[in-house]
Amino acid sequence: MKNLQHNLVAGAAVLAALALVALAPTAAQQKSNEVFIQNATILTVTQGTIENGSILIRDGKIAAVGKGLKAPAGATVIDATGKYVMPGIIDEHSHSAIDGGVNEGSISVTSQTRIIDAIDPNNIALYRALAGGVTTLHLLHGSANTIGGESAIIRLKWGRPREEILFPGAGRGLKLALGENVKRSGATPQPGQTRRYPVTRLGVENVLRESFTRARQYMAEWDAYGKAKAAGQDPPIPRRDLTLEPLADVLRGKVRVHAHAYRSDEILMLLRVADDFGFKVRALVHALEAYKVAPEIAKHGAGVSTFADSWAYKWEAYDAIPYNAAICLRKGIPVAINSDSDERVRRLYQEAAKVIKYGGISETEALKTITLYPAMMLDIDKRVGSIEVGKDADLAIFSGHPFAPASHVVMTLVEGEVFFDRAKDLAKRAQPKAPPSGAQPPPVRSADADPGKQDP
Amino acid sequence: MNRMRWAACLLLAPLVLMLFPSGAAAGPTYAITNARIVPVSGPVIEKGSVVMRDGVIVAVGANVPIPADAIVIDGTGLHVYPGLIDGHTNFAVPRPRTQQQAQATPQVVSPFAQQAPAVTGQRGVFEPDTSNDPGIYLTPPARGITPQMVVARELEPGSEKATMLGVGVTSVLSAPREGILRGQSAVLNLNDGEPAEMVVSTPFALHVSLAGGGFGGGGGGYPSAQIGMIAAFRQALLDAQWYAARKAQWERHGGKGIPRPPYSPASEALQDALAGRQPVVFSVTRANDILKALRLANEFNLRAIIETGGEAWKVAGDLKKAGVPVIVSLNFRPAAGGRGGFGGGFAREEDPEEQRQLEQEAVRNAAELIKAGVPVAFSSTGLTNYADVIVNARRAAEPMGKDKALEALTIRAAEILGVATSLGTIEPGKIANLIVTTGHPLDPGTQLRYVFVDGQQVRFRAPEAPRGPAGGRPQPGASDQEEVRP
Repeated sequence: MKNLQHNLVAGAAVLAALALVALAPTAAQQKSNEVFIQNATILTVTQGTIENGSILIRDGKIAAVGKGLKAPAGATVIDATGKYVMPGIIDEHSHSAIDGGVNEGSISVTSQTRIIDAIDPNNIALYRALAGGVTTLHLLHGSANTIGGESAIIRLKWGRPREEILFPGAGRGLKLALGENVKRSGATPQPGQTRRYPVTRLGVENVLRESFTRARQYMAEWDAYGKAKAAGQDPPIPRRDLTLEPLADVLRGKVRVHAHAYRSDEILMLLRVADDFGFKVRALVHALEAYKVAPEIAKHGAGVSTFADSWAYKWEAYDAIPYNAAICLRKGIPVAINSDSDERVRRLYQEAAKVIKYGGISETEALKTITLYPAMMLDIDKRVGSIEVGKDADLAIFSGHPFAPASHVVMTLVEGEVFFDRAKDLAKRAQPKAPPSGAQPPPVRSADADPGKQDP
Repeated sequence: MNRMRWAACLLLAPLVLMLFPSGAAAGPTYAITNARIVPVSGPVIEKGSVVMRDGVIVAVGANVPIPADAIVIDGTGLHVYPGLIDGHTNFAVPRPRTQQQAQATPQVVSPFAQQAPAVTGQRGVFEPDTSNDPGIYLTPPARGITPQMVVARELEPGSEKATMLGVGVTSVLSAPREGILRGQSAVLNLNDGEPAEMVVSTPFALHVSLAGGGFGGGGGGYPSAQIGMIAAFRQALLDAQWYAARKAQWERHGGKGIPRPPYSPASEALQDALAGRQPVVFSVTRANDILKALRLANEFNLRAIIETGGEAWKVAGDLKKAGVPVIVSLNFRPAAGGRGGFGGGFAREEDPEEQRQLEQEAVRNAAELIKAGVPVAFSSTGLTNYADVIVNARRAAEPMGKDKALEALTIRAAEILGVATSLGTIEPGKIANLIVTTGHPLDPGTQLRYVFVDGQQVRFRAPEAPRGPAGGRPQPGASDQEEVRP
């Protein structure tokens, strides 16, 4: 009996070692800047599916994709026989790895707050997201405020300095929010806390209009100053206002707008405000009633970033239907399936599969809801979102088809570098814990974020 | 008649002060003879004397003449060290008194309605300065932006002084208690003089907190999240730059022809820090927060100092590269509770093993920093029992050696606090802050015999022996204190 157990343990160890050999690059190979993934089923998203194909990665970019490629000498070879490769998953809506509160909830206009100021690159939530094949996150403020602040796009180079995880060249985005969370229905002020304007949906619109009106004045003030300066005058220098600056930049078309919205009436309200002030809403987030006003959304040109089948978790989510994504996609609206959660982010591929079940959307379109469409909403589709030559090698390797219920991620690469390796992870878990005393503390210790219940 | 008497008193008052200056430096001349003198800045004098007059060390050496009027203390068998420096305290800084008032009935706050600033007028209460903020309608004035608060003007020393002296600390940095841009600190000598006479250097630094802000509970008021605090910090500094630019512009126009900038005490108070003339102390503990502080310092070209710095060892390379010193808190106990997740609201259950490891890391922190070439001082920040300054400095000394730790408590602290010409070592000309002990201050069992601040002997309260089974070691009791009377 004991022997049998030993044999089982030994067998498991051998299997683990084999898996390591198969997937882990050796030290000698790591010196090369080339990685070669061979024998995989490649879901390119934009160019169909390639059976038994290979991907050559050079300097973090996809150098070649197709059948019959040969691994260059010295390249790190990842054998993906029987496995599926898809573009790294992009989560359009995340609150992971933000220090010290995602809401500056004291007041309703906090465009001056920036997520980039509070990112924690060592947060364990990022590693967990990698384990779900995710390579890019759009980090946003919470939804406590009408105008939340400037968001950030990161790539999941977990544990690297902040400078390395910020998505290179990404543009700026601003989070807006409407409805229940903003007006704080039913919230009882705690002692010492102040009740806050707005408390109705009408008030939310007023805050938006008032704020953008001020932003317009602010813009005019600076434009006039610039003109007077150019004319050789020395007019009084205007004050830089960090609250109005991002709003002015929205009006100038320099900043994307991502708006948390649930009900169809408030979606239309926001689109009208945007039309009146001459800016575009890039993405309507959650937008569970988007199906009611899909033509209007399509006409405005906004995307919809939604859940696959979450509903009735609050009043404004009662009219939600799981066909929302499918209906919007059929109207030509780019749709993203987002996580809004440290937990759901690990299984976005299963969420995307639901779009096929509800509404019969094609497999490729469903894949796009977690790759290309969110990339488009974030203006990073030139670099990521599909497997194409020239794009960044942000890839997720699955044990089977990502939409098959039993499939899991075996490896996640960001810019050609392996940041999650299931075999290594399992091998590490099998090791005994390092003795605590006298041992050198680990180089980075990550804050352990609780995947608690999250309010979208 | 009465009035005349008053007038006479007023006239005489300065005269009285001149005749009997209560100044800390006034008093007898002292000489400590036949003692082992550890100047820290140079070689140890195995048997020598220190002479102090008018608050200043006038002579140190093996063979120095002892003035005839000096009170002589026979230091045979005793050791003389520079007084220790506590790199960060809230000593003598009054608590703001508006907290309770602020927690009155909830009001509806509109972002578009101008708020009347609370009228308090109390000492120790610092309202935000909003005089140059036309954006007041959209964003209410940020709380905790009080850079114009100068600690040296507010001092209210309490009875804790004797306890601090009792572990050999003779100088402290007194920093403002709460807020984001909290105000400006002072270096104080723990002498028996009036508050103003304790001041060695003011204003020393501008003090900033990015984590929590020290607002009790955090509820109700902008800003309350870290992203808000950083935004408020950034806006205040931009406002100060704008203020300076407008002022310069107005002067360029000869004070006419264009509107003058409204006077702003907060913006005025930030000019020295923005010009690099004044250091900025960031109170941050976590490695990621330290990096945030370094980035903000870089953004505004500030001369940063990191305080608390519990996880500074993790970013020692960044600190070294930026040339930023760290005032390491001797409170090694990790903060209770886990770090929050979404919204910062989910506390994790404490893991005793993790807590133990965090504490071990904190103990090694200073040694790792010094090894990496980062200047280090120590502080009592966060300690509930002041005697732990010595107990924990001893623990921190283990990985680096007690002399390095002593340097951090003396000369390095003086350098970081910008008072190295006056404090931190035993050299002629320096302020006579000395401790006379039975051995190395970081050796267990060492007892304190005399403490001199500004050349005068001061009374101290020796720490009580720790209770419980762990504290079997004899500690110096109050009865060990010897006072030499002239």
